[in-house]
Amino acid sequence: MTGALLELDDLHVEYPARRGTVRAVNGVSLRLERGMTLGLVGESGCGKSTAGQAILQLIQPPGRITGGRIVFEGRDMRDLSPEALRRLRGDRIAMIFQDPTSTLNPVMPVGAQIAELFRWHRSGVDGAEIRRRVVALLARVGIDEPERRVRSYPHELSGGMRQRVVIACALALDPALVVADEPTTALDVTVQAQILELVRDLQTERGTAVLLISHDLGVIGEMCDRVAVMYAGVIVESGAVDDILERPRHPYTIGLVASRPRIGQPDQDIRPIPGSVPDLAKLPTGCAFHPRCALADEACRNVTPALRTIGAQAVACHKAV
Amino acid sequence: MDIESGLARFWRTLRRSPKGMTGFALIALALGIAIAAPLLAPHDPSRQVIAWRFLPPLWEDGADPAHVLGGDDLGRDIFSRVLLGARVSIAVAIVVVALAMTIGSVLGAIAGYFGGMLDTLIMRLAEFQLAFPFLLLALMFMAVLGPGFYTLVTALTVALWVNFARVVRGEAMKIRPLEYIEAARSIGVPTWRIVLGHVLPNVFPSIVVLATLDVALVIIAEAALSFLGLGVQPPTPSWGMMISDGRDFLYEAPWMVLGPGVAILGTSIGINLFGDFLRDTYDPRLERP
Amino acid sequence: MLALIAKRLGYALIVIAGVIFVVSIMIKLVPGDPVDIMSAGNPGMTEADKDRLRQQLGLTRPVLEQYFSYMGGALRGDLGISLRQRVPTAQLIVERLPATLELTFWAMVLALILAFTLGIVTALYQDTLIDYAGTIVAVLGVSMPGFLFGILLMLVFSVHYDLLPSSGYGGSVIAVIPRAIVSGDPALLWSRARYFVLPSVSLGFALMAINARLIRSAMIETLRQDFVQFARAKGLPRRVIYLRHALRNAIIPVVTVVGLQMGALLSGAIVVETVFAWPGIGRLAVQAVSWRDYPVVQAVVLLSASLFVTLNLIVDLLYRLIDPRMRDG
Repeated sequence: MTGALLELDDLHVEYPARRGTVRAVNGVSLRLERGMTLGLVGESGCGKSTAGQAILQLIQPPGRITGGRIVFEGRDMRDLSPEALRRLRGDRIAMIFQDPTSTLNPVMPVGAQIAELFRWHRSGVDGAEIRRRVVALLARVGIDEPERRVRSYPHELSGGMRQRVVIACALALDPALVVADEPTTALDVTVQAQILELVRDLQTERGTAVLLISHDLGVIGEMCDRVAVMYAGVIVESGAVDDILERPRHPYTIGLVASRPRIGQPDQDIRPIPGSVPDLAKLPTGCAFHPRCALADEACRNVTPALRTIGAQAVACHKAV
Repeated sequence: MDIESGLARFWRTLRRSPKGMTGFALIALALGIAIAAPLLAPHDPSRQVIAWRFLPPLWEDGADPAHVLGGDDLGRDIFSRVLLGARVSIAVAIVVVALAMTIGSVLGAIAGYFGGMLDTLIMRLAEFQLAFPFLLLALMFMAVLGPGFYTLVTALTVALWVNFARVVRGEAMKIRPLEYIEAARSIGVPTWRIVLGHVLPNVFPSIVVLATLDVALVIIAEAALSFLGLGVQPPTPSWGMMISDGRDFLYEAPWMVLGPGVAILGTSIGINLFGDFLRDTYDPRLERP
Repeated sequence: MLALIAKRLGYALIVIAGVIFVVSIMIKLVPGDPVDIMSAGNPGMTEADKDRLRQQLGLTRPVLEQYFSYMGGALRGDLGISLRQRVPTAQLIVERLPATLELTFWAMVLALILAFTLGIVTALYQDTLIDYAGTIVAVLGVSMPGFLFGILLMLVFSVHYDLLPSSGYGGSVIAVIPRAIVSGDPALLWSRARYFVLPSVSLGFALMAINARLIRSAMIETLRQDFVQFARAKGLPRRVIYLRHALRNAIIPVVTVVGLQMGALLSGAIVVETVFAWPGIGRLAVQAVSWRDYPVVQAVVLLSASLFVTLNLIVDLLYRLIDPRMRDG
């Protein structure tokens, strides 16, 4: 299994809470090649954001990674020293968070927030050069009057512009991988489209690999080459985007795909999946989806299904064909 | 709200908190001493006996077990004086806080509920008063009215009402535009009833926390003013004054300040711990004054 | 921003005018005849003397006239003559103000340095032994009256171990800093600073305890924010994250409170100066009150309140400077 840019191997992340141990990530395995866009899709509360943060080792105590490997460019991130980890972050792997308003420091000008990446990762570059690059970055992400905007504070910018600044931070040092956690969820619909287009352009331009975490299948469909569907802390199906969207095999994925409202088919009722997501502290036995699955039987209730290949994708279900 | 079950619940929460229990115990001790002081005191606190002058306390040589904390410069029993001093401190504290709470709440309710000129008037008054640092305000009162119990109470009440007013005003302003208040008004429910019935219950926990913490403040303030010679006048024993006397004899009789000092510290710590516990339980958002 | 400054300044001036009013009519509020009260300890005063005194104190004038007369005098620097010491009040104040100002200054500096250190450390080591120790200090700080702390310090450092003086004033430390640096003579600084140690620590202790708690909660709250997580994701060094990102934001709520604490500091100075026989205006005020020396009381109150109002104004503007979101009111 060499050559992959990023590989998650049986990752487990837990954190203690008053109601019990929350098992946010329960044996997730993923593989991301260079330049590829992988989507990680699931409803809120399925552990996808936690998985994303775990990659950069950003899980804060009392949460912790309790098992598995995170291999980036051939090295297991869990073995790295804190200093080595620090150097990777922002430089080789970058992250974009959901809400640009809370992601940016309110009392620092946006230019400075981009500039500090250079200051702390590229010691050779002098002040004037840093400023040049920051302005160029701002222009590249589509912020006009970048010379002036360098001194602006986040509250002086619109939501879309703030997210562009965040993207600029992420791409400043040309990382090999960008983890984007719901990058458009907090934005207006029209702005969403612009941001997605920006990300796609930049990605094509620089060959960056992107792990796009989202609950929105539409976004995933537009942006990603491959997708992994996550439910209750495990991957239930993964494969190429087209395959998954056209021929979903796992009952959950089938439900997800079917519940999307489609333009052009006004007569169809929206069909949500019955039931609700399980509490990650109190997971059901066996397959986590069985309480909501029409096909569930004894085996589903007792034995956790492993990923097996059906057709072009990997599916974790006893019943799928 | 059922008062009995409310109290029972409160007691249970209290018992689980070491901070709260310690505070409660200290307060109970202080109150007990204040109430029973005349019975507990082994000697008359104003009685001066030459043989007792500078008598060392129990942990030093030459002590007399009849005088646990020793004797002061005028030959009075320190222990008895500390016990009686509790009465003054606690009496002043309770009276002041009760007054400030009442006056502050009423003014705050008026300001918040009626708004307009009344609100502006009361709030401007409050802000203006805040231009004077606390002790300075007290000094002004002392200069004009002369030292003594009543001036002390007046000065401290004036310094304290503002915070209560603010809290109650906030709550009153919140309920004023609400529909059910309009409804009550339209059927002729008198204003004071509305305020009492709706503003007070919501604001009650915050006020109780504030009042508790203010009691500690007042005890310290009263001690400070007595220390400066501007509190209750002799022969009434007061912890602050005892410390002031003790300071002059720090080299000869350092124990003169220890008795009242520990008393003030203990009472104050107890109240602050308890107040902290109350705040954690009922209103963690309340900022410390 | 400029309009805001003008508005705040205007408001501050109105408040000061109000303070002058209260101060100028203070004497009139004394129940009974203040002159009779004052002359009770002075049998040699004739009725004529008393009348002259009444004139001098403005007791015979209507309120408004008294107000403007006092204000006029104040603006000229004439704050009346001390009844007890027979010298111009302004002179007494000028003699003693530096001592109080410098005491307050050092108390604040000490309190803030220790508060920041303690606050940040307890925030970073939350729920450990260090944090627990910090809580104990905080409770003590709030519960311990300034004068008691001062006396206890005196007991330990002056009476028991003869390390520091229990009273006295050796002159301004700030004034000799340049000379001490130039001549490389720390002994010069210490000869004066040793008098400041106990009083400053007494005055600053409560403040330090309160601020340490404040900074701690502000830091804890800030560290939970998303932008701190983003700073980590950018691979910034821990020092930068804590100081440049977190602290910068945590300071904002603290600054406002610090401004309000100036009042407590001024109040505390009154007490601490009495404990340590410090030749400042606090002690002057206390003496004046017990002697019923009204002109001095008036002057001290006026000065302190004005100082306090000005300080609050400065802090308010500073706050807006620090938080760019507040710059336009």
